[in-house]
Amino acid sequence: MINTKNYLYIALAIVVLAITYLIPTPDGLEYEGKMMIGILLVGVILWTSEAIPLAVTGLLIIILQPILNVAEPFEVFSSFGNTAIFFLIGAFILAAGIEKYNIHKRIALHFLKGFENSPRMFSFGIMLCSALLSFIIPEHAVAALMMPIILSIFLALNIVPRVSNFGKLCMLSIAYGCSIGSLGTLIGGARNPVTLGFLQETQGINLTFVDWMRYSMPIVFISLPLVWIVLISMFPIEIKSLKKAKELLDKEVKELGDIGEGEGITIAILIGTIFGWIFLSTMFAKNWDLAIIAILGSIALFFTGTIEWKDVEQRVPWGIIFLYGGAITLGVGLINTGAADWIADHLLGFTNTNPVLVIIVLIVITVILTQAMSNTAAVVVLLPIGVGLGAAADLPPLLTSLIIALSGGLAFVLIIATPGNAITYSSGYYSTRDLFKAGLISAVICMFIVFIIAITYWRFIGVW
Amino acid sequence: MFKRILVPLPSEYFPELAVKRAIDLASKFKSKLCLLYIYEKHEMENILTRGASHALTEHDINQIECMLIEKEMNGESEVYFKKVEQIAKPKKIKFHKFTCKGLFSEEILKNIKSEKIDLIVSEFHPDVLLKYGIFYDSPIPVWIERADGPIQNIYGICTNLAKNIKVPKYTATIGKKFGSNVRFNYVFDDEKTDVSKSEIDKGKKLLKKLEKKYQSDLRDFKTYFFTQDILKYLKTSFKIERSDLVILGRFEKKGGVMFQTADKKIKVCQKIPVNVLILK
Repeated sequence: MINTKNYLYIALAIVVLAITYLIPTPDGLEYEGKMMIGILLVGVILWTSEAIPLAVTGLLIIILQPILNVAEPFEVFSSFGNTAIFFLIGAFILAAGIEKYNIHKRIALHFLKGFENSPRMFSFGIMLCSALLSFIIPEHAVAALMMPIILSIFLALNIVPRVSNFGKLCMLSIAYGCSIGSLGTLIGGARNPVTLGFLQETQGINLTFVDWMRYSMPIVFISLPLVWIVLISMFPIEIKSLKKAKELLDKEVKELGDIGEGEGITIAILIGTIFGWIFLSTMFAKNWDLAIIAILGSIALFFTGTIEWKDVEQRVPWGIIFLYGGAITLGVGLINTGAADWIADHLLGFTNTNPVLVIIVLIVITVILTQAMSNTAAVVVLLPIGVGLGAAADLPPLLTSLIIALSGGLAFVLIIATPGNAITYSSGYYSTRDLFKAGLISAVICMFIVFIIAITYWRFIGVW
Repeated sequence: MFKRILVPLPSEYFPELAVKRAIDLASKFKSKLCLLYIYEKHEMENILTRGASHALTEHDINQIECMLIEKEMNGESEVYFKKVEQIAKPKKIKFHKFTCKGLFSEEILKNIKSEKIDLIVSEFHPDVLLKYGIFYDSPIPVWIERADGPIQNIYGICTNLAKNIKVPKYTATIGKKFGSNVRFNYVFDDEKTDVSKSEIDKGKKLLKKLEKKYQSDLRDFKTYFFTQDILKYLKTSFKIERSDLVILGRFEKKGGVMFQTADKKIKVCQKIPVNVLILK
């Protein structure tokens, strides 16, 4: 049911679009560009308020463009057929296979056993494990997996919700570990493939799986320990022993038993697919695009009978595909109509084309926006504007896009910012205030890391 | 006065201050302590739907829900009760424990009746507790704990907007039990412009009557008369005057009965930065 507040947001979106239509076209912009800005505002209002599902806003953005004579129907719909979308579909199906056989659980349990010597190291193990798993499956799936494992440990240790610092620390370690880990590969955070698709469609830049990791991994591995230090300082651990947790982990590992046939095949296909992403799409075969390998891997799961379609139906959030589809068409529309450059010139002109200032502004705006709306939506709204702004300061589109995509994952402050926060918050072990305080400091630290990497490492490896 | 005290334990957080106070009250009044662990499913659903619905499938959400319900009902309530046991041990207070699933206010109201409760002790928590209708719905007094520590100074607030029947009685009894300094403040709300002298005299007479009745029984007993907007008074007075507990009844002010809407409940409780006992 849509409530009155949501009707107001829908009405606001319609009014904004109508005003954009009626006002004269500003200098330096054509009708198409003006209307794309109107569509962008509609997207911002509806994605921020979530008055209608995010996916439906994605669809609305697609159809508004031909309706308002901004683009031909075939143009907008063909942007939706971007390889990034199919890469995502393939990755989601592979993740469904992993989830079906609890492969991620097996990895997590064995991994955590390596950190069970002290509560302090255990909390770091949780963060590291969440981050590493977010390299191979979507971050929300990692949060949903890690939470029950940690909850059962909490119950064994008599950890009291919202009172225990260990409880707060571990749950926030899951949330932040997933967010930071999702920056690492093209699979973890779905905004990464969207950025890939945007760069392909608008700039003709093709990034490989390895390229992305080369750009993002330093940020991941510098941020993880620093954010953990922030958490451990804010929530000093009150428990001394993990004896019961150890017993529980042993029991759970035992319960999982040996690797079964289906699980073994799925692991083999997953390894093969990752191998394909790293080697096939990079070195040997030009047409072996990331999407083709992802789809091939997911088809292999069906060929071997390891998963059925109902497993995919249950586990793949199809709505997200429409969100990303709409998002890519929005980015393409803003670039093609010159609206992105116009916004960059007029709204962010104060940066005075100073490259360092432009980088700082992009990081700050992205991090602020990603707290208030879905981080993919935030990234999509900012990608074209960032490219326009970067062009004025002689910064290449790859640099500005990487800054926005990676800053977009730093959704640490609010519950609604990212599913990982919402899932761990629902456990009841930390308050919104805990998240806000820890998130704010962590976000500032990570913003600084992104900035330093952008002006040093990325320059060194030739991004700009 | 308080034969059976109820402490609701919301699944969202452990109200440690409320538990400590309830144990203190139970030992002073020789009351029976009841703990009610309430798992409110819709809260968690809201959080998941608001924050993660675009990324999670129905299957995912169901799985998380089932896991949380199992954790809450089977495990977490026991963690809560064990924690209370630890706190209650030095005072040798025993308690009855109940676990239920449902709407927070509804479950409390059901248990007030079935367990014959005569005081609810809860904790001030703007994010969680005050959005519930318990302060308005409750037919019995509600103690809102905001500050830990001894109750040295108690303020009973009478006003021309209320009937002032229970406030003097409860203030005096609690004052005696805690050995606290007691003050009765009559706040004459000057919201109306056409205030008659007889109305003001009525308030002053009440204070005199209370002086006569309690002066000898209570420690450092004082009465004061103020003419001020009651909400402004509630907002400013207690911090300066160092009170530890404020006792007040339901009073009427423009816009309806106080504590009728969630906004007003929060408003009043936020205005009073100390422990509050709200009488019906």
